[in-house]
Amino acid sequence: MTKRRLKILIVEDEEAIAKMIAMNLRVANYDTDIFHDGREACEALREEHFYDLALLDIMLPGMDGFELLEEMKKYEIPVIFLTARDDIESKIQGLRGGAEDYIVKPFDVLELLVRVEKVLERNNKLSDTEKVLDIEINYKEHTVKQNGQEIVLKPMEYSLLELLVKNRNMAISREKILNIVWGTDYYGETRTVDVHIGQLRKKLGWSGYIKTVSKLGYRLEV
Amino acid sequence: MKDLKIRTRITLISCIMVLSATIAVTGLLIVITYRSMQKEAYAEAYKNAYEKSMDFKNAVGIYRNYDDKDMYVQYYMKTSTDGHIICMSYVNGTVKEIYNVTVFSKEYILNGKYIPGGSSEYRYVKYKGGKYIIFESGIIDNYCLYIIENVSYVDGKIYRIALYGVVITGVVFLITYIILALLLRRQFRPLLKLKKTTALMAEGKYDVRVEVNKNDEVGQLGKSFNKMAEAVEKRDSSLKMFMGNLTHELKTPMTAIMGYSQTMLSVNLSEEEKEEALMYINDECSRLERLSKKLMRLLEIENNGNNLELKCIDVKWLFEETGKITHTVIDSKGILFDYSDDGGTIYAEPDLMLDVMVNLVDNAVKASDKGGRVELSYNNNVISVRDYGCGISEEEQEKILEPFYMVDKSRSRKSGGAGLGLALVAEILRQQDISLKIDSVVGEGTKISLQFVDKTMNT
Repeated sequence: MTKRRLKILIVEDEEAIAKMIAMNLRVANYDTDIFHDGREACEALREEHFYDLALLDIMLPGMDGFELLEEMKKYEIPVIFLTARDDIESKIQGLRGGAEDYIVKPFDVLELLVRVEKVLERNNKLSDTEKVLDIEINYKEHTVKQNGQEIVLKPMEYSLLELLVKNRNMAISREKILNIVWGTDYYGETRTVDVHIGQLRKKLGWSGYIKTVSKLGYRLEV
Repeated sequence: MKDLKIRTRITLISCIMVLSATIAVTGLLIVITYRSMQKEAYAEAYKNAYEKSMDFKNAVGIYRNYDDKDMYVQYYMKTSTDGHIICMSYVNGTVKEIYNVTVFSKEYILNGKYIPGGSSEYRYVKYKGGKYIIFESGIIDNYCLYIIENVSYVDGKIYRIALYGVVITGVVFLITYIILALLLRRQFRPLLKLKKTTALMAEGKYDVRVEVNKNDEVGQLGKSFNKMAEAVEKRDSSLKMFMGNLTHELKTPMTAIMGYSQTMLSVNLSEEEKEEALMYINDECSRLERLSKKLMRLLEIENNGNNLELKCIDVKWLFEETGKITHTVIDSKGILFDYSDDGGTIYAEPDLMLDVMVNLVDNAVKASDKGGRVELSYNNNVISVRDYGCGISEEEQEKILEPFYMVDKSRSRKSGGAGLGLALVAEILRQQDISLKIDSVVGEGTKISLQFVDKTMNT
């Protein structure tokens, strides 16, 4: 486990969207703070600014996302823009301004989580090792230990495990797994996923944890 | 001819006209000149011939009694004349040539072809390329003189003049062409620019304008073009803005719906969380529905703008209906709803007018705090909706009629607004020529006045 839970700031004027993001981040083991107004967020930042990441909308009441980005830079908080604006100018302004990523609404929840994770990884916010259930994963060395004993996994099995662990408690479809781990969209190959899941269950003895979700895919339940 | 540029066509036509005019004038001048020159030459020739025959008469008078008269006559001819005379003697019915050093033979003179128009005294003769007049002196003492006058020089002169004419015509043509081409090029330059600009605009560059520095037809065309371009640009940008706002308004609920449904599908949520997610999905769906309804209404109104059925509406009825429709909103906030009217009537489309009133009251209620007050009143052809709520700042007053503009985004979304109400109102009022006035002070409230046209003044 990480030494402390990572904390993510959400500034989004739409309550429904803000809560939805928070709900998913909580499931993925992050702490969240929500603000609906740019200026309020900016003022609160003076008191509390130990955030590992900020998800900012651009069109905000009080203070827009681009202005907030400057504030975030002061406290060295990496920023992902999460906005309905999909014009090139805004994207360029956002990324040039120093944002780590730019996601256009409506977005895929899993994609958001993966991007959040990648940004955290780039900013060294993630620890190299993590303990999940009875195993310990070393993300740097790509090794897995169970009860101090190293388990030998093939590269694809390891990648699959990492994906499941990082998105634990969330069902991931076979297509998405195929896309993220194997980098292919070929629908017919979803069998491959099933085979590798079977291997993982067998090697780790995780048949009870890696659940098959009907019509959807697989979920690691912790 | 069809494919030629107008400029070239005008130049060509003008040049052809100038050319034909020049040719006609020159031709006429040449003909007149020729005639008068001919007349002069003939008169001169006649005078000469007459003098010659008179001289001969005098001379023959001296020889009259000489025996060898012919010889004397011959001698006289040789010494005293210039050789353009033929002398014949008529004695007892026989004709004898006494003297002839001309190109004409005796037979030709007596039987030769003559140009019609000659008289018995003189004849025109064309002979070996030359033109001559032959004068017959009549019988002078058995002798007859045929005086030959060469008038070919008249033709030569006229040929030279004609040559000048051709050269001058050519020069005039050339100068006309050059001047016209240059002039038209100058005149057509703005038109060419206009053509280029139009092409640019056709490609979608609506910000192009033409430079207008004359007030002729082309200048006016340019002005009209600029006006049109402005209208197109304005329309285009407002459409773009509308579309941009619409997508934004669509994306927000879609993001929420997508996000919550994905979360519910893939994550094991607690019952409480599931309920919350469903509630949000439901909320956002009804928001989408409201938006689509308002949009449909806006489109409907925009399309039906031309066949509005205007009627006399009793203001009291209008206020009562408005109250009925909005009473749930009014009651939910505990608003005091008050209306007063002087029993007048207005001239408008009843359903649309009701739309306007409901939207205005709705906005007034939204702006008001709980237990506030909304007043409707009518006098002097002005309907006003007054609230004592949060008010609208001056800069926002300009924007609130735009589609999707919301004074307080989170607040109006919570109260179910799509940001289209006032845009709807503005469109309806615009179609019926009713003007809208906003008086508002931040923190004190807003008064919206609709000024109707006084129909008693109109008739």
